[in-house]
Amino acid sequence: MAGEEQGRRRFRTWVGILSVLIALGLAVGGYFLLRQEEPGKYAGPVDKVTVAAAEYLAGALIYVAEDQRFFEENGLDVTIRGYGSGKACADALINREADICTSAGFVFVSNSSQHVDLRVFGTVATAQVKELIVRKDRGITTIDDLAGKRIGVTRRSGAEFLLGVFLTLNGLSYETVELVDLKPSEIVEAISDGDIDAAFTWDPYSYDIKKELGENVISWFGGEEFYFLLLAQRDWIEDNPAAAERFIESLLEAEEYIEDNSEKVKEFVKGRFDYEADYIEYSWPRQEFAVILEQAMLITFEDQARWRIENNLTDKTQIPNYLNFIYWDALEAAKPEAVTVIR
Amino acid sequence: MSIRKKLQFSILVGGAMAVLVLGLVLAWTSRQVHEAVEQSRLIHDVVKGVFELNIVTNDYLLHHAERAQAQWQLKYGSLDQLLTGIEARNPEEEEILGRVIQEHAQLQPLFSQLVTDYQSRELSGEEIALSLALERRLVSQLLVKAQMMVEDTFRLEEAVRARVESAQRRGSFLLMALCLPILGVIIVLIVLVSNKVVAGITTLHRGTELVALGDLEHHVNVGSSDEIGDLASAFNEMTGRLRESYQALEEEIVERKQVEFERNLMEAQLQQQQKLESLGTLASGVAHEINNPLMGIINYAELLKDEPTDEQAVQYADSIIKEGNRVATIVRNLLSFARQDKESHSPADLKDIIDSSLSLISSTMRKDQITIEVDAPDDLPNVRCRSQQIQQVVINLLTNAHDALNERYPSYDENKLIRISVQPLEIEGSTWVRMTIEDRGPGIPEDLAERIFDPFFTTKPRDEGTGLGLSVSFGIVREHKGRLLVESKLGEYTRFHMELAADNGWTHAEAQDGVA
Repeated sequence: MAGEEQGRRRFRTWVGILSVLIALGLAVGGYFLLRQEEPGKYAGPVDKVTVAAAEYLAGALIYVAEDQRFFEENGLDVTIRGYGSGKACADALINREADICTSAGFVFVSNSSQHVDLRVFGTVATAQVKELIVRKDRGITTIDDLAGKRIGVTRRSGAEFLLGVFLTLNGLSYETVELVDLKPSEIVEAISDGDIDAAFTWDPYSYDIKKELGENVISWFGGEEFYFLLLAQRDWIEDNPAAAERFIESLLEAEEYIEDNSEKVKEFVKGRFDYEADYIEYSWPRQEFAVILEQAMLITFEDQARWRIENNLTDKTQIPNYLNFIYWDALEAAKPEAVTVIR
Repeated sequence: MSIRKKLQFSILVGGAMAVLVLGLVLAWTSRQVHEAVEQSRLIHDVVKGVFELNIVTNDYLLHHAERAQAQWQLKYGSLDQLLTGIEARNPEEEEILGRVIQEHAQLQPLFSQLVTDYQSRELSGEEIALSLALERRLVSQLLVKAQMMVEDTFRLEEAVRARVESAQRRGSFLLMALCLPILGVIIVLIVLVSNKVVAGITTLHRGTELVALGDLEHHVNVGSSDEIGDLASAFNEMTGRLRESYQALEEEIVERKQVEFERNLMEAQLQQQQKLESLGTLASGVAHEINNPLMGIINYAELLKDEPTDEQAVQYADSIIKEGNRVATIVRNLLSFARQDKESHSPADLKDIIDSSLSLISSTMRKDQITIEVDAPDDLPNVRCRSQQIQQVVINLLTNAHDALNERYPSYDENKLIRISVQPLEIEGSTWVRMTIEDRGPGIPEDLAERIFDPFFTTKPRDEGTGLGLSVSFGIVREHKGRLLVESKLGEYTRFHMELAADNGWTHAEAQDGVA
């Protein structure tokens, strides 16, 4: 009887152990099968990075990543230096005052002929912010009415390039209109005072014009996509590929955060850049805060470069191979589907 | 093996087989699906690559940019890698894949020629026109080849999908085919275990029913060493104990009944004795009071008779004397009942007493055609008694039997039989002798049986009995510290048992103490 009882107990023990093992196996298997691929938090050495960032809406990803401590969580000690324009940011990068900068595509293209070591490793925003605004009281109600009208534009800027594209696509040319070279800040006053009949400009100046003229304006978006880029020097990015990748990961987290918390971010940006609430609502739908590297971006760069050559804005005669300016390893490692450059 | 173990074993075996087969089929299906997805992804990437190649070709044609040329080469190289990764699993797929690879290979020389044509375009007007015509032709060829490549790639995808679907059908069939034997094994295991368990339970159930019906000899045998077997063993053990308890209980009941019967009997005797003692006291008193005046009456009647005045007076005197003697006899009997006369006890053989008694009444018996059978062993122990009194009892009992038989059978009948039996018996360690007188008369009704030993109780006509015979007999036997019992069944028989202590050398007083 005692032996039988012992055997029974041993059998029960084995059944128990087997059951526990099966349950554990199922649990572990289930965990590995069903778990979401979540990257573990960075635990390595901290890299110091200085970023020259434009202090306006298109640079929001950088500021949100800082505010939400995404850089910190990814092992980056980021110092942000704010600048009023993308050109100033690019200059800071070129002058080695910053490791990374945010800059409009046109600024990059302008510098690419002289600074072949510039590298594009992502975007912080794509936008449709450049637009043609006309005064209705000047008899302009259709694009065709632009013929012979005075259009204010900042010459040798991306705005002039996009105005050309706009006119061409609508059967007009520079010759059919009168271009008036004005700084962006001057354009608002000029069109408000009636010195010019129309203006081709971008946020926030387009907003200011509409605010001044109220119902007396008609506007059209200016064609091509506007890319706001992440730039770095070749040597920095080759020396710090891991930091570049973690920088991209931080921005991707900020991108997701903005998607899920748009109202919070609007409030944050309003405070950060001292914007009017109405301006935020005006400009927000025109922006897409996304880190990408797409084929159309290359075409745009070449178009802009070609335009610069054709308008003698550079002494170069050959369009650079912009493929050589792209560094996609960081973004491909963090989010491969965001890289759609043909290769 | 216990039922739990059997069930656990069955579940483990069935579960393990099911998990194994399901796991294998799932793994196989998963592999198929994974392979299909992988192939599909590769094919999708090839198609996407061809379209991208076309985009870059057009891009190159637009501005002949170095970037577009570089991208074309990159894309061509990546397409080459993709095509290397695609595995053809059957001749159809091999043929299609071969065509795709061939078409892909044809793209490279065409594009190279396109680039060369453009780079060498420092020609005169006519040559430029030829160069542009060549460019158009080359682009046309590139587009045609790319289109063919896309179409063949889609065909390849279709072939791969058909192969995977076929494999999935085979997998489903395999699953079904394997499920049936597994199901069979599980069913067989369950049936075997349940049959074994149910058979054991049924046997136990039947055994329980039989035991409930009183068959305590039933033995259950289930022939297994599991809990049912243990239960059967316990059941058999329990039945055995129940049987022993039942037997002991039966014996105890019999014993108790016997004790109760004897106690009741003794109580009845005691009551009767007390009643008769009271009656004896009463009768003795009455007899003494009656005896003296009665003697006076009889004497005066004698005197009248001795000195007759007339004949009528003599007749009256005779009648007075006759009736007076009759009353005197009754008074003597009453005194006898009350034990007024004293006689010493002496050893006597009951057979002798029976013989003496029969000699007195045998002629009467013969006259009434009554047969008497005597059954008395030769080695009967003597009893210490007053022989005359015991003889009186025997004659009384025989006379009652004679009257009863005559009442039931006025003429001859074979049942006109009186049986006298004598046998020794042990009562509480002492030797006694029991004499039984049995007749086949009408028997005694139950309501009368209690009163038959009462003085003056009789069912006979007044001139045939005084009602003192049985009461006097009872008093005699009681005087001997014996017992006179009656046993009767209406319409069948009547038995009188007289039990007297055997002569063991004790004095009468000692014998009294022994009985008491």
